[in-house]
Amino acid sequence: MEYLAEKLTQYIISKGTISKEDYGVYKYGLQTGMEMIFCMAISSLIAIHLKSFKEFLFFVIIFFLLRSYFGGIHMKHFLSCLICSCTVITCVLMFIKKFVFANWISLVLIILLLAGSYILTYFIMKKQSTDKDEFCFLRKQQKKILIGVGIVALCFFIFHVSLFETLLMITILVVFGSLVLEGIMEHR
Amino acid sequence: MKQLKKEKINHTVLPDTIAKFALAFSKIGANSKCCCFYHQPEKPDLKKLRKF
Repeated sequence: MEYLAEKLTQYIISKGTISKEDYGVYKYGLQTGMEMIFCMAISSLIAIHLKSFKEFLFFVIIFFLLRSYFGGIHMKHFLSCLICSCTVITCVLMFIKKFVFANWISLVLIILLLAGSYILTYFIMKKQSTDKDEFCFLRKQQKKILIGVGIVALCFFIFHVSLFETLLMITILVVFGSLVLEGIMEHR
Repeated sequence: MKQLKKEKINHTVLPDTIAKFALAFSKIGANSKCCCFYHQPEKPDLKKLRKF
């Protein structure tokens, strides 16, 4: 993907669309975009095969919302990322087909996991010496997401939507697990 | 006419579309901690794309 991103960036520079100084920015954008789309495409196929496309969409929305501002562990190479993401998605979708927790259990776990993620991210960002502006901005966004996800969880609880409540809990658990691993890596 | 249209697409529309696609993801990357599944390419200096 990096090679393709390099070639495409060189192409748009040669056409005069962007300047050479912006090479890094556009290469990063292209690589990130292409990797994300490729991962999503493969994961969508898995979800369609498992006949759980709605659950997959819900998982992806919540996952990216949380991961964008909470962060989590990163793999060194795109291939390991692809394998990891496909494995996680397959496991989550297969789990949700077989196990659905009671609403109240999911709600309690959601609250605990969200609180744990919020606290853990604080220490991780402090360790990573995130700059002050970015730190304040991310904390603000994290609070908004916590409130939003909390409201969604509450609605699922009130309307007894056990399947999606459990799926929400699993998604937050995946993000929390990723944060724990990132915390361990940072501590080393 | 068709030839001209083809050339226009090749010279301006396609590179513009690719650039806009790249810039969109760079802006997301600049304003978030992570914008991918489990892999983050090396982030360049994206401070000029920040909203904060």
